[in-house]
Formats: sequence, C-alpha cells, structure tokens
Amino acid sequence: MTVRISGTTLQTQPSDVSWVTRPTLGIDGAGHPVYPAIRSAQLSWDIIDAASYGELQGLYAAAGNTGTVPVTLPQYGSTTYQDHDYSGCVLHEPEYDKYFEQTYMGVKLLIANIRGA
Amino acid sequence: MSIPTSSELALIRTQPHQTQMWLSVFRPTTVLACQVNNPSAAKGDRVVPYDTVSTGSYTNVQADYTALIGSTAGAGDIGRIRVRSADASNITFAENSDIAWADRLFITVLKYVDLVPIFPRIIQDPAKATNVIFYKDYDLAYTNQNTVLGTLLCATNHKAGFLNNGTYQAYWTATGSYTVTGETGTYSWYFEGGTPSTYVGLEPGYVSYNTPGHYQASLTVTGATINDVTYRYVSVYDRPEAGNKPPDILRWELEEIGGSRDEGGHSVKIKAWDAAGFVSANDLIVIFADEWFGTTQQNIGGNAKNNSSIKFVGYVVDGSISYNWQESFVEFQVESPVGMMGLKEGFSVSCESKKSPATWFEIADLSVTRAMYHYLRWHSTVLKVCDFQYTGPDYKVQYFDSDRESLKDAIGKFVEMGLRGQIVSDKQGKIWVELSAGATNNPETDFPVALSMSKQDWMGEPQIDERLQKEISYLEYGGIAYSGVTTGTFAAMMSGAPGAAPSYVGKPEREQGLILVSQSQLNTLTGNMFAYKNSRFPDIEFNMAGNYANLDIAPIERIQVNMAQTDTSRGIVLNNAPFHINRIAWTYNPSNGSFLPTINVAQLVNGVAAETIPIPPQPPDQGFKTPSIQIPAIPAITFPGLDLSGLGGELTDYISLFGNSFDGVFTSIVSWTGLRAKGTAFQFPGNFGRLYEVNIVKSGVYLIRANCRWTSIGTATRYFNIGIGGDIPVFRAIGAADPTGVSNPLAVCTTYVVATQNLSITVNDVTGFADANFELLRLMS
Repeated sequence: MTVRISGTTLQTQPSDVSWVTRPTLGIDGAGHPVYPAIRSAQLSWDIIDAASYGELQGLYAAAGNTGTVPVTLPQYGSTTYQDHDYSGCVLHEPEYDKYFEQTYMGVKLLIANIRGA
Repeated sequence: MSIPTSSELALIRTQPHQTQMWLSVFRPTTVLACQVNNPSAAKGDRVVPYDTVSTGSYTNVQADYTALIGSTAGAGDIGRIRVRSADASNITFAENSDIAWADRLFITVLKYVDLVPIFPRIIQDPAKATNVIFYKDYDLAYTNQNTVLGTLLCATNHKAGFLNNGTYQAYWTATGSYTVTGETGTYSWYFEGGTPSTYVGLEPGYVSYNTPGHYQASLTVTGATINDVTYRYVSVYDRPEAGNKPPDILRWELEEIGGSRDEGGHSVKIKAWDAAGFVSANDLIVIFADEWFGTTQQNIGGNAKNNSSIKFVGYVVDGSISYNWQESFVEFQVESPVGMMGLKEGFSVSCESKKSPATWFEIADLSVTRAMYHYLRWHSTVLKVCDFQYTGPDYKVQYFDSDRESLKDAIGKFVEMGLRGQIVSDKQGKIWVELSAGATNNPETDFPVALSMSKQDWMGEPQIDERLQKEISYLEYGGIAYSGVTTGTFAAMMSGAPGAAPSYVGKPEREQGLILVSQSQLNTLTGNMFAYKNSRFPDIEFNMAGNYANLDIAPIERIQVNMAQTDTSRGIVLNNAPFHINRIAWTYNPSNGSFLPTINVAQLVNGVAAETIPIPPQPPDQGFKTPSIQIPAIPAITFPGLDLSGLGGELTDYISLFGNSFDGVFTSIVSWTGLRAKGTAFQFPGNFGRLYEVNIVKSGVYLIRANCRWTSIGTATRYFNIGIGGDIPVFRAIGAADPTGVSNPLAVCTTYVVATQNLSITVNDVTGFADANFELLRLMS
C-alpha cells in the first residue's frame, strides 16, 4: 500500500486505512437501503513525527477551502488488493489526540467525496 | 417536469446517485459609466444630462437596461432604475420618484434587465378638462399597439456552466413562443461571446462558448407588425481545479429549496461563506449541477430542451441579505420569476375588447393570451427576461381588469378567476400559465406521464392524507361566454355540481366570473372541479429514493402511483392511479452528494358533468312582488310664444346669450357658417335640408331650444331635428299629426348640450316646414 495525496507519497504511511461506513439515506419501499454515491476513507497513524504531521497539514492547506485533490488508496471492493487513484477528493483537516515527546499521537486524516469506491 | 425517456427513467433508478451543485451569480457588463451633469438635478428627473464617461458609450445602451445610481463610481446606493434610452448627452430613465437626483452622481448602466413593473401615466387632457389621456411608460402614446400586439417569447432559461475541454455548450430554442395574433415572425438570435454569434430561425441548437465570462443572448421576433425582444444571460466558468475563473462563490449550502404550485414556484435560501460583496438584490442566480446515476455522469430533467444541468433560476430578493461577520457568511433568499412578480407592484389596468382599438384601454378582439400579453408587455419587463407559455384555450374575453396589485396577482387572479388556472415558474424559471389540474376536460388522462412510480421509488412509508367525506357539498360556477368582436354576442351561464341537490356533507362553494365558451364546457368544468375538490387522496407525500431530477411543479404532468396492499400499514391499494405534483421540497447534502426530493401529489379524477342552472331573462322574485309605483303626471310646460314675424317666407331667427360670460357680442360666441346666414330669407330646402350650421367658438354648457311650425296640412307626423357635431340628429321634436287639417301644428324642442369649441350644431327641417326660432343660451363656461 502506498498512499499518495495530490501526487505526493506520504513520508510516513498510515498505520491504518479504513473505509467509513456509508450512512443510509433511507430504506426504499421495497426494503432496500438507499446509499449515497460517495464514500470517505480515514487514514490513521498511531504516532507520527512533526515533519510528517506538517506534511499532512500542508497538503490540507494547499487544497484550501475549495480545492479537490487526487488520492491513491487501496481500492475499495476490489477482488485483488491493489491501489487505485481517486480524483476530486476533499481533505478534512488532520487531527490528533495528543502531542507527546515531539510526536503526534492518534493522528487521523479524513478523505471525503471519494467517488467510484 | 420533463418527461424522461425510458433510458433516462432506467438511469434514475440506477443507484447510487450523486449531485454536485454549483452556484452562479450573473455579473452584468457595464455598458456606460458616467456622471450626472446637471447642477439643478432634482427628485423626479427623467431626462438626465451626463458627462465624464469613464466606461462604454451610449450607443451600447438598450431600452430596459438597468442603471445603478450611486455616490461613488459603480455604486447603487442612491437607487436602481430602468433606462428608457440614451443619446450623446442625456439618459432618459423610467418614471421615478424615489431617486434624489443630484449633480455629479455616478450612473452605471448595466447590460442587464431587471424584472420590474412599468408604470402607466394618466393625465387630464389639457385641451378638454373632462377627458383623460393614457400613456404607457410615462409618455408612450397609443398608436396601434393593441391591434398589432406581439409574441409571448420563449428562448429557454438563463444559463451557467463550466468549460469542459475548453468549451461550454448552451442549447437554445424558441419552441413554445406564441404570437397572439397568429402572425408568423422571423426569429433572430444574437449570442454575445458565442459561436455562432447569430442565427435566424426557431431553434439555433447548441452554441459554443470558449471563454469564461458573463454574456447576453437576445432573441428578437419581427414580422409585418410584431416586434419583440427578450434577453437571456449566460455565465461561463472554469472548473475550480482547471482554471482561474471559477464561480465567485464556491463555499455555500442550500438551506432550503422547494416550492409549490400555490406559491407560484420554488424559492431557495442560500448560505455562502466568504461571499460578502458578491451578492446584491435582484442578482440573477443560476444553480447548476453535475449529476451521476450509478456510474453514469449525465444530467436529467428540466423542461428546457438540453438544459438539464440547470437546476434552478431565480433572483435575489431585496432585503433578504443578512451577514454574519463573526462566522463570515451571508444568507439570502432567492425567488423564482413568479415569486419575484409577487414582490413587484403594478398599477391597475382595465381593458375592453374592440374591433378597432383607438386608445390604450381598448384591445383588438381581446382574448386570454392578448390580455396577458398586453399586461406583461406594457406594464412589466417580465417578457424581456423570462420564458412565458400559456397552455390553456385562448377564449375570447370582453374585459380584462387588474387591481393595483402585484404582477403575479394581476395575471394569477385573471386566470384563477376566469379559467381556474395558475401561474407557476418551473425550476428553470420558465413561467407557465395553465389550467389547474381539475379544470381540464379529462384530468385523469389529459396530462402526459412523467413517472409511473412504485415502492422502489420512495423511501419509508408515504404520508397519505385520505379524504373520508366530501369537503364540498355543492359547487356552483357561473360566467360569460363572449363570442368576440366579430359577432359581439355574450351569454351568461351557470352550472351546479353534483346537481340540483347537494351532497349531504361538505360546504357549498359558489364562484362567478368564469371565461366560458359553452354551457357544456362549463358543466364539464364544474363537474371535474367538484370531483377534484372532493378527491379521495388530496395529498400524498413521498420521500423519493434518489435524485428524481425530472420532477417539477410545472407544467402539470401525471404521476402514476402503484401501491400494493402490503406497501403501507394502512393497506391502501392504488393501480396506476393518476396524481400530479403540487409541491416539492429538495434536500441537498453536499457531504454525501445527495439531492433528494420530497413530493406532495394530489389525485387526478374525472368528474361527472354538472347540471345546467337556467338563468331566467329576469331575476325571479322569489314571491316578493315589487309594488307598482304611481308616477304623477308631469305638469305641462308653458313655452314662451313664438315670434311669428317670419311666417310667409320670412324667418325670424335669433340667438340669445345669457350668463356670466355674456360679452354682448354674440359673433364672438358663435359664428354662422351654414347654408344660410343669419337674417337671410328662409327657404325650404326639402326633406332634412340643413338650415343652419352654428360653430361654437367658446366652450361651455349651452341650452338649445328651438320652436318650429309647419304650414302644410297633413296626417304625417312632423318633426324637427337638432344635430350636434354633424348632421346626425340627436334630438328630435315631434309635431303631432293633424288629421283634422288644422294648419300650423307646433313642435317645440329643448335640450341641453355641453359644447366645445368648433362643435357644430345643425338644424334640419322636413317638408312643409314653415319657420323656426332657434335659441342658443350659454349657461356656464
């Protein structure tokens, strides 16, 4: 797995990539759940150094309030494990639980608006 | 709502859906920026001298463009006003009283037409105090405007979109346009910034734009007599990731979007971040979208052909803009064109059907479409910026009246009271005037099917409002069938449903004033409306299971509902039951890309024809007899004796003038220009020969009295005519027949007239006429 954001391979790869469960929009009259078309993926790091965290913050800032980014992630639902490029994704601001001994712990980065997953 | 093709319908049912909305605020080009050049400028000025042109030229200014009047360059803090015309030194504005004109104010004329009312002006005739003169738009005198009339134009919606591979393709067509006189016109298009830039014909199709910017398109229809123009606006942007000219506002959300037929269209509440200064009142808002159905990116819906990406068109409501400086957002309300018409007040208008109109309040062979065209063309700019289509029958109507009310009410009440119709904007801003769902001949089948829906199409359980007993026990409609000016006949008609006996439950309802063509048509209408108002399912609410983008509130189209017994806890069964949409509320959630409508539909039902209510020639007395009134005999009036000195061929004629204005010189009051001068010998010119023609040279109220005698003996009735303004008799004195042979029967006639300068009075005689005295008394000026 090689996660890339805006073409940049993250200097510290996430320790965990999870696809966020899509909330249903409702249940249709036939009993089927109605899902939105887009997904979100959450990248997690147990511990990360300041430079790596700064890289995430920089990628978020570069996208700005209105920009979208291409992201390379493990492909959702593929029959084989492989990376996939998703375009038009939206970065939420990275967050962390605590700062300890010059490292960031419990870092999370939510990538939203992922189509085709 | 547009009728989806089978492939589109299949696509709509392909999950999941995603919608990405974009917000466009049209930025009009400045065609002339200058300053007021008039040290004595004052409130109420219409013709404003200008100088110091900093941008553009007066040659670029078109009638109806919008001007901002400001204390600084480009500002509109002093006012916003419609332009009538401009030349090298003056700009003529529409009538205004709310702009405090002052020297050196800044004028910014925009290439943009606001949706506003146009005021008429009615003045006292300076030549005759008892007359009034009507003008439109302050000083437009009537010539032949209500005979030539014009076209209710359609040019598709205002547009906004992205350059994709360097091009934005906008589709144009004039389909739906209607010339109310039936005249065939030539449709000429001009596309600023587009390729091709011009086109002649009804449907130009796709026009390419390859540079970001804000452009105006115009459609002009001309013919032997017609000449109308309408404008549409196009905003072209770079995609945010692809260029440096994206939409101004990218961070925004739709707090509310929805509308109903009763409200006349959709309204939208928008919250936008970092957008202060980007939005102002009357701005044109276009919301457009990228849509995916499953893995297919494709736009669906919209009534305008090949304009499916346009999801909403409206205008920013004045006074609705609020700022939150702490959180840096601005909120504002956007209304559909009909919603904006509801906020714009017009003047009262009254018109009558005439064969040959001679003034503004007469319209040639008035009909429903002619009335609407006249009002919208001469009393608003609606037709300059909106598609307008009437789908009902174009019945003849004798009168059109609107109160001093909103533009929406003027048209809405006319069609509601006259036709049971409604005026509604669709999402793309096209104005539809159509008969309401119960007012057509066969409501169950008249409308095309937009969607045949079943449980896969909705989420959760529908909210079903079931009417268990009638609300209306008796419905009585009445109106007038007018045949038009050719035959000019009219007939009053009434109809009652369900019939002579009302239903046991419900309330009676009576409405008059319908525009009709026949009794059978009224009976059908009354029966159908009675059924519609009492339908079993007046409202069912469905939360749709996806972006059913084809659904809209106008025009009326059929939703066929299929509901099995097991689909709802109430076990209601519907098999292709016809409904139509009354209301839609959309929910847009950009975080998951969902755009979901909740629709409220009403059942379409065919009624049983109502029964004719005979209208007696005279109102029934219901047992009450008006007592006869004894009118005392009119006392005999004694007239002064005749001056008979002229008998035997000599005539004594005189003019007596009395009153405050008597100047003693009657020749300054009247002049004798007839066949016979004053004092000349009387001659018998034969039947109806003209004796005198008196030209009054001073206005006033005159008493005319004439005494006359006949010398001949006979049994025929003798009479004596006075004509006002010509030889046509307007007053006749009858001399009794004289079978006994008594000579010199006497006839006396007296009348009052209000005479003006140069109005002639003629006195005619008949065979055997002997002589006459003629008095003209000026009573008051």
